[in-house]
Order: sequence, then C-alpha cells, then structure tokens
Amino acid sequence: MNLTELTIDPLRELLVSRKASAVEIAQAHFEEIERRDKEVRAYLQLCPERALEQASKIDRQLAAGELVGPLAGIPVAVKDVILARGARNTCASKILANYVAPYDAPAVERLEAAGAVILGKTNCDEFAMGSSTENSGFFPTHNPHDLTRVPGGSSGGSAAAVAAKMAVTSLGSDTGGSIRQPAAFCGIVGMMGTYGRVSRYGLVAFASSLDHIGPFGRSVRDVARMLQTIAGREPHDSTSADVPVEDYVAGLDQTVSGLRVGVPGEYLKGLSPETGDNIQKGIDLLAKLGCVVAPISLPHTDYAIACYYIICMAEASSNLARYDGVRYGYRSAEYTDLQEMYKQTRYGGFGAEVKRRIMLGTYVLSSGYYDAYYLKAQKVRTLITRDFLEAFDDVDIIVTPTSPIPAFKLGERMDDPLQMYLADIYTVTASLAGIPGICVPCGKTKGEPHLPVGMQLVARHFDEARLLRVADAFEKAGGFEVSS
Amino acid sequence: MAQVTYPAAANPSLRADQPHKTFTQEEALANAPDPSAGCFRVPRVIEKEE
Repeated sequence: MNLTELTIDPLRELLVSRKASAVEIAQAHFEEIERRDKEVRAYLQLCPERALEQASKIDRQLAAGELVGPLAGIPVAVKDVILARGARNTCASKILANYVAPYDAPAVERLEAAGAVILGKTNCDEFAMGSSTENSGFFPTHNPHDLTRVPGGSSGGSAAAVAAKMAVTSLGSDTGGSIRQPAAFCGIVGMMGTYGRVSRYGLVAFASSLDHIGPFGRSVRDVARMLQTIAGREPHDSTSADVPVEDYVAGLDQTVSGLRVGVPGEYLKGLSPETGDNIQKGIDLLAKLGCVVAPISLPHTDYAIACYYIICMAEASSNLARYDGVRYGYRSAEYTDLQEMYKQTRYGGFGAEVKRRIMLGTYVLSSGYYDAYYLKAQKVRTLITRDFLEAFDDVDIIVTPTSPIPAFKLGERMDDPLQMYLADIYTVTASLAGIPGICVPCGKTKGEPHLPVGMQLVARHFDEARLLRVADAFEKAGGFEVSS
Repeated sequence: MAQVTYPAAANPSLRADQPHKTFTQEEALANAPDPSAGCFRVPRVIEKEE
C-alpha cells in the first residue's frame, strides 16, 4: 500500500485502525519528496523535525485512546508566503532569504490544532506575483504532468506538491487566481473562499483587498475539510468575517438537481479549442446531474485584467514599502547614507517582476494619475461586482474555464508580461468581486502531451457550501476525467 | 440584485481594548540585519551642524 496515493478519509481510517502510524505517513511523504522533488522542485524548505514531532504526538494520542483532530496525521505543505513559526519565510524573494517567521499564521495554527503535519514550505512566484512560479527568486517549479511546463502560479509549489503526491493537501494564497490557475495546470482541486472567509494574518501582504489563503487537494472532500478547518473569524485580521462556518463536508452528498448554473458568454471567447471542448463536456455533465444550465452575461469582463492589475499593483507598491533593510530581511552592503541604503537594498533584493509592479503601482497612485487609473479601476471593480450580483439573481452557480490555455512551456511567456497577465483573465473577476471560486479538474487535452484542464465554479458571497457540493457532485459523476 | 448581507456582530472589526502578548524586544530584533544596543541601527540621518 502506497501511503502517498491516499486522500484524507482513507488515511484517517488507516490511522485510527492502527494499520499505519502518523510517523509512517509523514516518512512516506518525505521519501516521495526525496524521490521526486529533484525534478519538480516544489519545496523551498522542509520541516522534518516539526513534522515528525507532530506525527509522534498524534501516534501517542492514538495509543492512549484519545480523540484526535479531523486532520490527524495528514501531511500538508504550506506556501512560503504563509508564516510557520521557526521556519524561514522567504516569499521566494532574496530580500527575505533569511527571514525566520516569529509566529504561526492562524491558518497554520488551526491546521496543526486539527492534527495536520506540516511538511515544509513551497515555492511560488516572488511575493506571489506571477502566474507560472518562474518569478521565484530561487528556481522555477516544474509541472509534474510534463516537466518542461510550468505548474502555474503563483502557488505553483503548493499545487505541484499535491499533484506529485509529495503532500496530501496544501495551503496556497490567491490574489487574482494564484490558487485556481495552478490547480488547473496541475490537475487538482484548488479553492479560494469569500474574501474574509479565512484570516489573512500571517499571510505576507501583496494586495490586501484581494489576498486570500485557501486549500489545494486531490479531491473536493479534502478541500472541504481543509477549508472547514481554516475558515472563520479570527481577531488579528479585522477583515476576517464574523460569519458562521457551515459544515462543508456534511453538505457534500446532497443533490444538485434543480440548481441553476450560468455560463457567461464572455468567458468562452479566446479559449484554446481543446480547453473549450473540455469545458463544454463539463457543462453537459452538470446538466446531466439535473442542473439547469442557462447562458448569462457579465458585461464588464473585458475590463477586468486592466482593473485588477491597476489595483493589485497600487496595493503592492504600498505593502512592499516595508522592505527597507532596517527591521528585517536583506540589507545591501553598498551604501554611505540612509537613502542609498534603501535604494541599494531594494535594487538588489527584489526581482524584476516585483520592481515592475512597485513602479507601476506607484505610478497609478501618483498625483495627476490617481483619478485616471486607480480611482477609475475602483469604479470598474464595483461594476464587475455588480455584474456578478445581478447574475446571481437568476443563477446559483457560474461555470467558466479557469484558464484560456493549459500549462505552457517554461520560459515561453517570460519575455512578455502582458501575455503572462492574460493567464489570469478568467480568475481575476471573482477576486475583484470577493466571491468564492473553486477550480476542479475537467479532463485532459486530446493531443500529446495530455495536459489537465481546469473548470472554475463561482458562487455568491459565503456560499462555499453550495460551491463545494456542486464540485463534489461533478467529481463523483466522473467530471475530473471527461474526455475532450 | 442579490444583496450581500450576512449575520454579523454589531461591530466585528473592534476588539476589546485589552493588553495581550506581543513580541519581546529580542524577538522584534531577531530578524534585523544590523541590531545594536536593543535598536535597529541605520546610517546617520541628522547631520551635525558645523
């Protein structure tokens, strides 16, 4: 029996029936990492001591006949923008190469309290800025389905780790698609809850009005269990919502028959033909399950990419002002005065994409341009949100592709930032509206190599339970394997 | 249009004004590139008047 092949429920069964120990499960995953991560390069750092200490604790509790948490012994990987106390938290940036996290993000704390075993920290685009994990300040991560291709981004390491069975589940962060798009490229499930559903405390800030922490898994049930654990009000983040967390797992097996599913015409333009075929098959399957499928319109979709990049860069330029070489992180050795120290530190510490976003963000916030760019983008954001709310008068769930294309080749889009930004075209809208979204696998492309295609489902604010229920029904009906 | 409403506490963004655990000075300085005498050291900012 290969312990790395299993999802949460079967692993729990083995654990509780004492057919496998938590230490054995953790060790099996470290062995798989040893075997596969030389090629995939999903992890930036492993935490074997912390993991084995937690696993031993679970084993002791089981031996003593004590009750264990819902994620007992489950190996989890954490994106390197989410703090885990005592571990380096680099954000895949040279500027934080030696930064040691002084506390646990509540999301990590809650996972450990539920019994999860933190294996290590995963690679990503520097400060989560990118769509391919090629902007990591250290090395790119490779897609486990085809090592010559990107795993998507920015949470590419967390997605690749789960897809390559080097973790059962993982945490990522999503600002404009950074969980959903890598989930699509790696053929797994990834979810972003409603803005405020999961506390952002301990998530290194990129664009605070858009940042989310969310889970990856190989099944919808695993993702539901993870979200269940990390969701809920947490006082350190004043934007975390004081909204009761439903029992997502209990809601999974209810019927989806009669649910109204909207398909926005704007999202089916510009798709690669194979992606389009798969998405159509996925929509047909939802209809077979009894969902009432109807075309809808989200008329401001064309403005979403421009709107998103203006807002996220503006917020990034402000958030990243803190990296000045004074309180933490890298400090250049080449300076004579304070101004020069700031300049050299930021010049040498940040990578090209981070500098691009800081400069563009500063530009759109500057006097004389603020009204034309930032203020206008905020107004467009309201229109995009209104599009969704109006659509939800008539439908319960909206289905779209996650990405217009499957995983592209490493290096293919690095010279053209606009092409890279367009990889997020179908995911940024839900981020701007603050509504929850989930990406589920929707078959593979027909031609060689067979690459995963992802389908995105979005729902009303705080309607995660329904989103998970539809995604789970889709999985059980064979939706993950639809053929184009 | 669907309203974005959900049950929430009267003012969820405010917490009780009570002291709680924060970083010690040692913890706050642990990641500093150039800590000195319990402070963050930077190049001289104020010039001496001649």
